[in-house]
Amino acid sequence: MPHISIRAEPLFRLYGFVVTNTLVTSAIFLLLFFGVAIYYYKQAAQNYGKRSRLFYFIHYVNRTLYNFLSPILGSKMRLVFPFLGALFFFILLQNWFGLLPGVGSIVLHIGEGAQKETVPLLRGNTTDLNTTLALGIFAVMTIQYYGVRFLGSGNYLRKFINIGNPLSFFVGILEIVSEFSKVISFSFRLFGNIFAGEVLLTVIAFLIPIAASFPFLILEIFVGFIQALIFTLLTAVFINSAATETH
Amino acid sequence: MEGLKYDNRSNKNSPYRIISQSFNLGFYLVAPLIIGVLIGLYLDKIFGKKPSFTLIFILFGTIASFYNLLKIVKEER
Repeated sequence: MPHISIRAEPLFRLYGFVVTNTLVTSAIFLLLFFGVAIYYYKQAAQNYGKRSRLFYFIHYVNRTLYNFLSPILGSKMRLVFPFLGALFFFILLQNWFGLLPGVGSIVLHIGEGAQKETVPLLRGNTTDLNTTLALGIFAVMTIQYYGVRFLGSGNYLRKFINIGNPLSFFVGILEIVSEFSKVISFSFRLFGNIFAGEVLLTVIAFLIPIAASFPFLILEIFVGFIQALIFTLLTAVFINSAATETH
Repeated sequence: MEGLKYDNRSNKNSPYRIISQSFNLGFYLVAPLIIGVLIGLYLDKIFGKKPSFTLIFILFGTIASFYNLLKIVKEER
């Protein structure tokens, strides 16, 4: 049975820079993701009737997501949707990429002697805390950006720094902590759910070798979808509340 | 910087808001506490006054957790 480690396993060093297996996976994934994105962009520039079925499928998913999120954001949606859509597709496809056959099951033997380790060559990118932390920080920064954009910098920053009376000063500090807790909750929820799924699949596959992991695989596809959706929805909800004037 | 003019009509009764908030609730409420504990431990390590800073920041984290709860309740009402 492979050793389960919470941190991503280092594969090799490139001029002192540690290359982990999640980094390799994310590089492969990003190439594919950019390929699909450029394909969609090129198809959108063509005339009607010349577009492919894949284009219409992606377009349909985009439209569904737009209609799904627009009750939350109202007319702010037009500005925010490119970011939210990119976030949704990025997280969703990364979650699903980790479930593909070969990801996690192709192993390498690294090291010599007593330090010999069995390490998977590829590992789903959202099972690395670095990735989800980056996504969380990025989402929270964007929430601040849209807060300033919609309310104006003076109005928005008054939420955090208010020297009117001692109570509102303290509430401002609590607001700052609340923003940081958004980063933590975003990143740990995504990481926890996806990593737990990977561990579950591994354990089930070693308990009962034949067919038992199939329902869990379907569960993981569902969890990956739900987590991507929750991440996007929460970002939308927080952007909306950041753009609303507080009293 | 001036704020953008926009039409502030968003539907507060959308069920997805509540679904997403409830998926996040556990992590969102615990996170300030964790931040408080980490800051407290770090300060204790620097100043060598175990466990005074940790206790102060645990208290602070608890208050911040309740503030987050208050914010969610206010928003969803």
